Order: sequence, then structure tokens, then C-alpha cells
Amino acid sequence: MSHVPQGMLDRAFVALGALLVAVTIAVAAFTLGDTPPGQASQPSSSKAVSTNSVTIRGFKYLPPAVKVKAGSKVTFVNDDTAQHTASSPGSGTDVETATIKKGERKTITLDKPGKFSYVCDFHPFMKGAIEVE
Amino acid sequence: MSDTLRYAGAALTLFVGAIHLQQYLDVLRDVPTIGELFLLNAAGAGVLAALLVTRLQVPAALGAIGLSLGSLVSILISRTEGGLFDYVEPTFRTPVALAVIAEVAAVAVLAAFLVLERRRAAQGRPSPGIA
Repeated sequence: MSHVPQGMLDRAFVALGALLVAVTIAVAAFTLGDTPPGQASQPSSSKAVSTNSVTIRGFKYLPPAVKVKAGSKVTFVNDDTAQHTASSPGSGTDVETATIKKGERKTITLDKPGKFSYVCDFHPFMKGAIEVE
Repeated sequence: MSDTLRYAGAALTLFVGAIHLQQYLDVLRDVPTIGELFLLNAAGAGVLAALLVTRLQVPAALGAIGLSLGSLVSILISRTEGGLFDYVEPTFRTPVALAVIAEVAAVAVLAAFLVLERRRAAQGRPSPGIA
């Protein structure tokens, strides 16, 4: 510490601490409130979209609800940095992707008609639904 | 020596806070509760790092140790099956590893600083960080 005046070092740390606080507050102001807590993915409020592809991004299934024909394949693409799954244990469906790593995709085939909800095993607040016609 | 430990502790605390802010922006901003906790960690780290170079350095050191210990316990819980607030950290990603190393170092460095301060107080000498 002898090479740098202590007062200058103190001011530098105060400035860096203040900068971190200021940036954090700015980030919070711009990002919090976009989505109510616990409402990150609510398929029940979403209309089912006819598609065979679900993208996982920002800890959400997009679209949160999909509609497919019986016997169709549905592909889950993980665009998140975190690992995810799409799992519907005990529902009698084949919605079980196992772990999908960053950038990976997993395809499942759905034969049984019905409406099935699924979650991520790692992050159960993530919810999705598949309607098999 | 005491000042070196204090500045090192402040730098490590800033680093821990910066990693939490980066992880919030990059990964966790949409994760309920966990995202907000990461923002609180970052802001708290900024405040504590600044306080470590003021007259409140001992309380700030205790707070910074608490912040790092809390983060370490949280990452351990998030690695368990039930996770922390429904969030499971399935992989030991590089930022997580860096944060754990910095948190362990911050706890060690600031604990050593507090020991030196306690000895100094017992000897009736003023802290060199206080003009």
C-alpha cells in the first residue's frame, strides 16, 4: 500500500462501490417489474399455438402452450445458458426430455391425446403445456 | 498488514458483487426471488466495499463476511435436489466457481483483518486506517 496514497485508494474503493450500487439500481429499475414474480411462465393464461417447436429462453418455454396432432414430434431447443428439462412425471405422457444443455435440442413424440402440463426439473417455476389432438 | 487485508477484502467483495450482477443480467433475471437476491447481493457488496475504507470498517468487514458466507451457503443449497427457492444449479459453471473462490478468500482475508483489529484494540492502539 506504500506506493499509492491511502486517501486516493480509499476514494477509488468508495467510487467503485458507489458505481456498483448505481449500476445495480439502474439494472433493477429497467428489469424488475417486467414479469410479476412467480408468473415467469403461465401456460394457463396463454392460448395454445400450433407448432412443433418450443424454445427455452430466459427461463421460459416459448410458446408456453403448444398444440400438436397425436403422433407428432415436439422439439425443445435450449437457448439459455442454464440446463433445463421438460418433464411431466406421472401424467402418462411422453413429455420427458431429460437434461437439455445450452444450445442442445431434444425431440419427443406424443401419441396420447389430451392436455398435459410440464415443468423443468431444475426450475419448477418454469411451466409449459402441450395439447395433443 | 491490516490495511492490505482490508483493501483486499474490499476488492474481493466488489468482485463477488460484480459476478452476481453479471449473472443476474446473463442468466437469472427471470428467475423469481433468486434474481432479486442477486441484485441485493450486488448492491450490498458495493455498499460494504465502500464502507470498508471508512470509519465503519469493522462492522463493514463483519457484513462482508456475512454476505460471502450467505452466498456460499446459498450456492450449496442450490446444488441440492430441492434447490433454493425452486432454483437448482445443475452445473458448476465458471462464474459460480469464480464466485465461490472469491467468497472463500473474502471470508479468510476479512476474518484475518478482524483478528488484527481485535489485537490492536486490545493493545489500545488506534487503527491505521483511521486518520
